[in-house]
Amino acid sequence: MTILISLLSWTITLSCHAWLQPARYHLPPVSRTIQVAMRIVRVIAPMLALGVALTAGPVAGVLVWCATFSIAGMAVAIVVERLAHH
Amino acid sequence: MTRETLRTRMGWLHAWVGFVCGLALVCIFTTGTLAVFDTEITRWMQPEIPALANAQPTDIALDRASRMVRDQQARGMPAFLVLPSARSSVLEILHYDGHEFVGDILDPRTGATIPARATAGGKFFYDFHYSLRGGGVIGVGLVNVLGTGLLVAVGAGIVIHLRALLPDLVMLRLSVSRIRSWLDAHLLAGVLFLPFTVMMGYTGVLVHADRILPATPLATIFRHDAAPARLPASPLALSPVPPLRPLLETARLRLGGRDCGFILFSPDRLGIFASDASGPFMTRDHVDFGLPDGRVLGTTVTRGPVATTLQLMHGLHYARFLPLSLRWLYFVSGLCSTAAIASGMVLFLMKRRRKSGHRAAFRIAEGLCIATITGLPVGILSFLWGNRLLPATLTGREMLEIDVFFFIWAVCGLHGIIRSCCTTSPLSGWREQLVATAALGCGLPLLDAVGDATAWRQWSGIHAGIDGMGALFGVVAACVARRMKDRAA
Repeated sequence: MTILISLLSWTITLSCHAWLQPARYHLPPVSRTIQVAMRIVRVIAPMLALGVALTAGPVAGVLVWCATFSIAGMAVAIVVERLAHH
Repeated sequence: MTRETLRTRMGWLHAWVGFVCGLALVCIFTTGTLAVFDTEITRWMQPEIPALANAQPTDIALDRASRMVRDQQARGMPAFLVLPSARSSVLEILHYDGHEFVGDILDPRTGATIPARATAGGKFFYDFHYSLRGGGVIGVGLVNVLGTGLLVAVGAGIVIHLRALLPDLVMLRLSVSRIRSWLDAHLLAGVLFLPFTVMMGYTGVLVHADRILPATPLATIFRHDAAPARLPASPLALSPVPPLRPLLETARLRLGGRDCGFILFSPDRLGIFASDASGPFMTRDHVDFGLPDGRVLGTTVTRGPVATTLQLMHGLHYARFLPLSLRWLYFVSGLCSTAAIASGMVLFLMKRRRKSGHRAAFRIAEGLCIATITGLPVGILSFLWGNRLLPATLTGREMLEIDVFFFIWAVCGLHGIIRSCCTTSPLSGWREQLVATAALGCGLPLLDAVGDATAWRQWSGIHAGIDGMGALFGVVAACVARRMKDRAA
């Protein structure tokens, strides 16, 4: 469950990261209000992921946090590429 | 201007150090990734071992095991006893054969020897990962130098990509030019798995740092390796061992409740060591007992900032404390880090093909790349096939499994170089070896299924995992081979 929550948080974070640079990632632009919300989520979600991951212990928690960041990044990159392509 | 110069120079460093070291680093990372599941792979390769979930060793089994250890020591073999754990439910009496720990497997309920087939097992990948089968001095030293090369290449790569590091964090463009797509894939895997790659590279170099920066003169190390210590052959020198159960309970208490991992037997004493799985700090804390009466001689607990830091480095690299879920994260991260290195090597060739593609050095480099990136998986899958196809009772079959691996890998290397040097289409070498990977990978579950169905039922998780991974790699290899064929057409 810890891994899943951390993975989900990172997926949301990195999706927001891509959508905050629509021109770079060839994504449809979003409104100013949504951009502000995305910026907030981009800051809060990794901290949430870290908080959840640390329940597994300090060492295992940091490992989970970093590993889920990497895997979520791969997933987001593939989805964003597909979206941009279409 | 200065920054551009620095980037250019770092580009050269990243490309050449990355490519030269990458040829071996792909092998080190691949086998290291497999070594995350070394115990499970060994179980898969010994289907005769019954499932003994949470079986605690009985007094009879422990006493029989200690007698066997003493018998082996009386014959001059420095054996020791490994206790059951969450990952391995059997008792093992092991000794070091120059490459890995091998020996007898005992039933923890009765202490009877389980007649399992001899196999190199997952330990082969572990040994290859840290020494390239080159021994404790040359092999480990070489791996350490390559690890340092990895850190240099990663550092140079960060400098090159620094400006776009964060904005392009999840950038992947597969519909642009081929070279740009490969660069994106390389950057994506390299940047996202940077924490894992740096952590494994740094801790890996650190745990064997003494091999490249020895505290003792090298000559001493060489002399030590040349003549490994052997126990005195006289059985009279070995004191009898008292019942182990009370000693294990005492040791557990003195080690702060940590599980016991293994027992080393000296002629007049024995040491019970804390399990590596008991926490992220991989210690060699132990309790010594005198023989033959079993009185406590002392408890050795290593603490202090330097020792604790090193214990953490060991723990992070060996990952023996991790639960199954985190082990999978290590495995996936290892695969992606391997992919980052491999894609960098492919990019190196792509960038130079137009200008230097006709040169012999380029063709040989491409042949070596083929052998490393596609030949190694063929060798690994052949190793697993060899385990099932070689007769279970064959003498010395564990070495034959290793021979199969190296022979097939050498054939792939030769094939790659011949295809690269002697044909007009070097892609055919890549494609043919991918087809071989696809056939061996997809065939692995079938081969396993026609073997021992009882093992499949008893160890369903392990068999599903390894067969599934084999099939997955097979399918991926088939897809890549097909895509290459389409592009060539």
